[in-house]
Amino acid sequence: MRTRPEELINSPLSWLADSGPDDDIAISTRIRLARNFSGTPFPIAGNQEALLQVRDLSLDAIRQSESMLDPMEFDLPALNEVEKQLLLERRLISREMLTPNAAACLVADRDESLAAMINEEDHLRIQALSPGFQLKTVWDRINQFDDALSRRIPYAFDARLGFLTSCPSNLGTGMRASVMLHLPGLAMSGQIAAVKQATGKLGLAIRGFYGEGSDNFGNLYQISNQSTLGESEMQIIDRLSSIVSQIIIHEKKSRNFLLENKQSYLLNHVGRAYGILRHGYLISSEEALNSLSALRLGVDMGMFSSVDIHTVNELFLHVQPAHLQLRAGRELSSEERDTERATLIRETLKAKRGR
Amino acid sequence: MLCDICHKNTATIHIQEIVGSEKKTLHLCQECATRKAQEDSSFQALNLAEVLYNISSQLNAEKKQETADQEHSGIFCSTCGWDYEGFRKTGRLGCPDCYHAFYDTLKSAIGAMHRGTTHTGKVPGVSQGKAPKRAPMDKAILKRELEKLQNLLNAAVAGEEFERAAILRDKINELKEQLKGEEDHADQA
Repeated sequence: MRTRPEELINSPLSWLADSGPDDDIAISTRIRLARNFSGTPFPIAGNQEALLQVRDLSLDAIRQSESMLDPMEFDLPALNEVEKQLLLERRLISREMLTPNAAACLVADRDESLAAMINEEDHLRIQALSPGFQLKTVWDRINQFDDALSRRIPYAFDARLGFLTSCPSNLGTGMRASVMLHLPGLAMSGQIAAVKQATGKLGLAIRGFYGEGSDNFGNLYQISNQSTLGESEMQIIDRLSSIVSQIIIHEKKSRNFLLENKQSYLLNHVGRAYGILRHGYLISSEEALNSLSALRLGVDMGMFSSVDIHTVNELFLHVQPAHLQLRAGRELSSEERDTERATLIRETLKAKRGR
Repeated sequence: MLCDICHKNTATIHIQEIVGSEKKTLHLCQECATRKAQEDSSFQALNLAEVLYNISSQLNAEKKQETADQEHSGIFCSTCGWDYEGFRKTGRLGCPDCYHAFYDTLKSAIGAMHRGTTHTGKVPGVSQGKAPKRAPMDKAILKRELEKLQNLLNAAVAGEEFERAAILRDKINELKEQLKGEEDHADQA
């Protein structure tokens, strides 16, 4: 339990800072597996003693598996709200982990490409995260980690129902695979609703990355499988893969359509966003995410040679409240955050321009 | 039935309104219902829970749920003590063995949630060339459950609660069959 969350702020996240297949549209790929100890109550019903034991056994298993190059351990009860929020913004923990739980723990590799939540909704939630669209590679990574853990942990497993999870919606493979997509073209041409309907029919879900009701923030969408039982991991991944490929093709078509038919509209959209980001002194979270989305589109389409896509990716992360506050070293009011956010964006873009 | 607003999609949400003495039913598809909920403030008063409730409020489904509640209300998991009430409130189970205790209750919900009802994916231990570990719903647990039910049955008979006794008896027979199946399975293995 050595690492402090503020150490993470300037440490680059592999899934945002590195290149990956199709990363102009697909930002990242994630697969998580839900696993539990057999014969042990799930966190919702377990007594503290049993859950602390689960934590210690899990930590031992993770250490012995040597699956992580440089593991960082975080004892959740020792963290304050902003620190937990930081881990949430970095996708290392879920909302469920924000509620107080004496036995909750997180282990993550230094580059944050592999992580394990202990005593979340299930005893173990392990995830692998990579840049771009690469479900098979990510599956291999998490599958190996899972194998290594299963040699040390007696998993709750049933021949008919598969891996047993606290919520029946995760039964079977216990797998949720998802791809984060940046879809400004489809959003601008009003096709998101159609995409949603089509994916829903195929047993997949697509939702705004920043949660329900914030669909258009940053035009970031997460598409994932809903069903976890009745199909093998590869079947689920293949179906998700083919749908994501289709969405990527349509996003490219929409972008080309805009470029060919509505060029001044597109240039205006990107140019104004750049103006706000480069020269604003107060930027709300919503405005920042939406402007960054437009800038990212401009970068993808070759309108800015000085800004690279990974800089924009990282800004998406650093403009969020906990990142701003830990960088400032204190709690900030909403207005102070808007000032800090604008400053951070201005200076990041200015530095890029100077090169 | 097609949606009353777009006339294109299948209506999956049915909302009943009383206008004067007349009862009107609005049939909507998911999308139009969501849009309407955003636009129409009187519609917004129907919160999501209510909309969801309406989905299942076709009388049959409701009746089924009521009988299910009655039938399942006494069920609990003998390993962790989690009961049907806890499941209804949280949508979650208490421990891996709960899947055995609540299987009948969960069967249809599991079928509705997933594209299948039988696991066809990864089995722990297999990819490393080791035999899979014994499933946790094993004989010992079945036997413990059986004992528990037997005691409940004796109590019900003693208290002349014959209806309850009949339900318990059926349950016991079912478990005995399952136990037999498990034993056959073990013999084969």
